[in-house]
Amino acid sequence: MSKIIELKSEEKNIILPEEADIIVVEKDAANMPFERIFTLAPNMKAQYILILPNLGSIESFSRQWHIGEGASLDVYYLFLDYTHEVKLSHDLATRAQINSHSLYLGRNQEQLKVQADYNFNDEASGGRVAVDALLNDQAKLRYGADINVMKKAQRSDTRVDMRLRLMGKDSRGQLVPGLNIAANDVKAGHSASTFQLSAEDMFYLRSRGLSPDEIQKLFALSMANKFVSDLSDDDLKKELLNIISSRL
Amino acid sequence: MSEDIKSHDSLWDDYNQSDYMQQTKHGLTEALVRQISAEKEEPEWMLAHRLESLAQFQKMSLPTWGPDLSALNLDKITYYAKAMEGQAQSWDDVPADIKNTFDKLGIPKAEQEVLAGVGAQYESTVIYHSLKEEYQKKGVIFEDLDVALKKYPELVRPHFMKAMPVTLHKFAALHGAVWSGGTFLYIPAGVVIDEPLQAYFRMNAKGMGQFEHTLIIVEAGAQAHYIEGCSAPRYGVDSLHAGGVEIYVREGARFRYSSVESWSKDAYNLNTKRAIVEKKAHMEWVGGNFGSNVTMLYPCSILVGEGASADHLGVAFANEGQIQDTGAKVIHAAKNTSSNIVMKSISKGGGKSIYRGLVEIAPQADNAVVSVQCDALILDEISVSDTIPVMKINNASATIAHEANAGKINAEDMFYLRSRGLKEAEAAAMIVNGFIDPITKELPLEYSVEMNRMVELEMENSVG
Repeated sequence: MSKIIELKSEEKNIILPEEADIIVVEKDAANMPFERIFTLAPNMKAQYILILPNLGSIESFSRQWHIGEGASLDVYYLFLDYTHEVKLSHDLATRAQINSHSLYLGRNQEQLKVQADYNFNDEASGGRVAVDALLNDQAKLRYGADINVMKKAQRSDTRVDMRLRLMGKDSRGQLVPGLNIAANDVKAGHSASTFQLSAEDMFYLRSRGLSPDEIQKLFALSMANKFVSDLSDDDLKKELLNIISSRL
Repeated sequence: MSEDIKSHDSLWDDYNQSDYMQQTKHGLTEALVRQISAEKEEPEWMLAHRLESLAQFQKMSLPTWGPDLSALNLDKITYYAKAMEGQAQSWDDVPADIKNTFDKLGIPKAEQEVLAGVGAQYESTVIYHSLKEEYQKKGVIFEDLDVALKKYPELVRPHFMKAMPVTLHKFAALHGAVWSGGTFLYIPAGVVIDEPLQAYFRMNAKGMGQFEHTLIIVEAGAQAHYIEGCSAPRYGVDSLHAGGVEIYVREGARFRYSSVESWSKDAYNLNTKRAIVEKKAHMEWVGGNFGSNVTMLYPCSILVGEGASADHLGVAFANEGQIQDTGAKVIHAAKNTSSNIVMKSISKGGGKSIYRGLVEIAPQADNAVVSVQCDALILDEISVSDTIPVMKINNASATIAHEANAGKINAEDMFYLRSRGLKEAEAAAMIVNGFIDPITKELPLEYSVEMNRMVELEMENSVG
């Protein structure tokens, strides 16, 4: 069973304890410093959940991770009513792994700008980055996710997948999945897509009695379920799904 | 190494004597801009345009994104030089040393065998232009742009630097001030040209700048294929190419623009290419970028008519000391438009290849469909590949799929080819040619063979 650590202090430098299977949760707006640096010790395994609410009038918000040799980190970034700029940075040592999941459900006049960097500094490191966004009303998003594979990071294996769905007529999105590769013996890929439900899918769902609004909600829930699917703690999974559902 | 490859390599090393350069000066001044316009006996509006461009150039800064251009000394560039007076009436009238250069490039032979028309520019001016009679009779115009400016002002003036405004960036402004030569191609409505037309641009002298302007108007329902080639010898002194290409593709027309650019490795290639594509028209860009010190080139399609579409296919090869910063821009500005971008890049010997792309869906562009595929091959431990795609989506009905991959030559493929008796460099060249095959197969046979040879040339001494 995972040990859950809910961060409630203003402390800026967090060195995770060298224990197996930790889940770190940041969701308390009152104790959420604008900058925070985390260190995960070599060969440790952890999960990190950031639920980013509206923090009022701030210029920017950043989180930085140093992931030690052979360590493994799963991150879950859930952006709620947040407006402004977020900088996320992840530095990976030899054989370190990261699985990054981001979900943004934008609404009203929210404007979110995210720049997420994944820096693969040493050999045989790897990562999977998934970004899903669903924008309603006049919400706007600019999401940059850069994979930076350094010269020493031979045999690294990295991939970014970004999916955006605009649901509001006046919603706007900008995706920038970057690959910066300075090593040759690597696998690196990215994809970005926007999409519509096909006419056949819409027809089928309408024929089952669902209204267009219910179809959209169903769609958002499927994204939410995908977002939490790898999370190991069922209670946290339910909590995240409840938060997401309450916004739909 | 084959004789063919040797002969191609010499294009980067051989140059002719350039006595005409003694009458030229380095650097850019208003007096030079006025001199260019006066020598060409241009109308007043063109001089005004040049001077406005010069003012813009002086106001604008170098781009802050992309490769560092601070080492390019614009005061050491020769902006205008004429190697011969006027234009030759036949190929035989071209001076022997210049003719020899183009003979090596295979231009006259290709003209006879596969081309509908051909243009050849040497330094700042066009020295030869021809078009088969059958197309002249159909109303096709294929001229040096300097000539077209005088003969067809009603066609040139409404289009000149409208798709590529001087305010676009510093080198567009520079181009507007000192442009010289280039191509004017007009294809009347409904005319289909089955054979390609070609223009070849050659910089010969040391420290030269070349600023040819290509203006193409493809009227409704017309179809054609136009090819540009470029090269320059290597001196160890920077040279600059800042050409401009504007293409107007009218309703229902189809146009393909292909280019194989093999500048010497001391040339800055800062080129601008833009097309405006109207209702149900189709624009295709096929490009191969080899050579140069720094290339910054992003052909752009602006889809302004309902149902307009564009294909962008490109190859870039960055070898030692080179930065190939290339890509594509597509702006979807109307309903039911579609675009397809396929880019391949190869980095070797410390070279850096960058794919920089922009896909923008305007709010009114309902049901836009976009596909982007870019693949990068990194051939050694000291080379670099970046992929920087930007997707701006302002309409909820857009469907966009972007996919990119980077990696090295597959070890099993290499092992198989070596086991069949190929040397390491030959095997690597074969694999690289296979990698770029989706692009080369879109070129006429002669040009795809040329591109494959250039890859073989670049792959010499490759360790795979």
